[in-house]
Amino acid sequence: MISLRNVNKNYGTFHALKDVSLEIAQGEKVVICGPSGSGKSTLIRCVNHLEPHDSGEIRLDGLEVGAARDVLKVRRTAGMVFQNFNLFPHLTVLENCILAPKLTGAVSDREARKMAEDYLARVHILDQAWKYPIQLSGGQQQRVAIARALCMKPKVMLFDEPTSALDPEMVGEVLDVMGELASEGMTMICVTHEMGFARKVADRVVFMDAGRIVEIAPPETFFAAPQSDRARAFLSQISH
Amino acid sequence: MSFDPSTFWEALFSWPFLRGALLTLGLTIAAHLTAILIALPLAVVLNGPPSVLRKLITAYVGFFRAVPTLLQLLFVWNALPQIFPIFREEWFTPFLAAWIALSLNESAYQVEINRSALSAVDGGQMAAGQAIGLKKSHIYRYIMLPQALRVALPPTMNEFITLLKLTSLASIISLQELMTVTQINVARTFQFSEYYAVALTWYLVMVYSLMGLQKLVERRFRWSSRTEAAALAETRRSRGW
Ligand SMILES: Nc1ncnc2c1ncn2[C@@H]1O[C@H](COP(=O)(O)OP(=O)(O)O)[C@@H](O)[C@H]1O
Ligand SMILES: [Mg+2]
Repeated sequence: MISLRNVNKNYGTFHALKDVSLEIAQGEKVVICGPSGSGKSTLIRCVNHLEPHDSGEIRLDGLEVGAARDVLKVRRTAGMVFQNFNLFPHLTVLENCILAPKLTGAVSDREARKMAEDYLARVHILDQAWKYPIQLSGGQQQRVAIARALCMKPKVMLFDEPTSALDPEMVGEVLDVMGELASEGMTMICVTHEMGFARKVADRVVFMDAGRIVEIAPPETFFAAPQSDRARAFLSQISH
Repeated sequence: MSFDPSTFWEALFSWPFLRGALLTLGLTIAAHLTAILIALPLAVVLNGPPSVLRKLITAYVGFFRAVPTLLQLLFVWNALPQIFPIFREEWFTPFLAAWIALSLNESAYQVEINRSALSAVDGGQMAAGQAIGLKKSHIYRYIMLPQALRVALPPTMNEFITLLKLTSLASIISLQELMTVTQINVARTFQFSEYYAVALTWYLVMVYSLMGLQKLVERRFRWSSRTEAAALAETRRSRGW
């Protein structure tokens, strides 16, 4: 479903991704963790071409990421959820969800609305559909952001630290929604340090450091017996 | 006391003054709209990555800010026809000349307003628009501009009022706008206070109407405050849209 081969990415002279290779099968859930600045966001932003990569190959559902004619198709294949939600503040919850389906013209207004209401119900926030983002709590905003991404019927979901900006009491409601999505068979890449979530949902954990993938292992192996020193050091830091 | 109210009232609603006020307002609206249309794409480029185009735009902005507006007006009206014969024909009126000169001049100021308004929109908005697969034009039209407008509105209104007053410079190229009409009448009758009061009244009416309009437009930005957003959401829900 997602395939990265020897991907490199530079920001100016800074080498942010170094020969990253990763294969993700359909329906698979991968959690990426690693110290701040290790390139986790950069990696998933390369997958939907929010950041262009410099060399190597990225493929998403058969599309070549980076090929000019496929950029919009790639982005519609992958839904993305950001750390800071990034809802459109001038649109209501419902309008946030139907904007893209309407503009991309795949469905009628009625269908777009119906679909948005379905997804809002699935993230348990349909009762807030008429509100503006500023009226919602962080956890509610993030669930709307998930519904908004789902409205494009993506085949893959990318999460970039979806719970890092949330107050602790709201983390659970967002992780629950993500867990439900996972159990429905969605292919997911999730950057997160929520170890409970990783244990429960992830098929594999990818550990990154300094722009490289250092270790890939099933969660039980990774958390119980990390192979690399850097992973051990990292795990001991976040478990405090 | 040498203020003659009847002269004042007669002149206030006389055709030459009404026409002058309308010309002033029309020229301001035309020039400002044109300036905004020129400035928008320039601001989008300025907000993007460094490029040769960006340098050119910076030079354009610097140029039109540096040259006095009066000189620009005179240049367009007098020098342009000397350089390009096409401007020697009938259709090239003082209104058109003033429109061109003031549009170019104003666009230089409006670029900076639009650029800073665009950059005031959170960077995550562009990324979110891209991530749901929207093309650039849709991202700007439906996500960036509605939010940037909120930031740009107050300084844009200031510019409009400045421009409204700048149009009086066009009297030098014999455009029959409000100040020109006023001067003609004063020169004819020496009734300074009456005719100046007429001009003053019309300028005030125009500026205050505009400020009222601004208040109306600002109601569209109630989403940016928590309490007002709640009221707006309720209104919309009750009306079913
Ligand atoms: N737009 C950018 N320009 C320059 N450097 C960047 C940019 N984005 C990220 N970086 C740098 O790339 C490195 C990796 O960033 P990122 O992928 O955001 O790390 P992570 O998500 O793992 O914390 C960091 O050192 C960061 O400073
Ligand atoms: Mg990050």
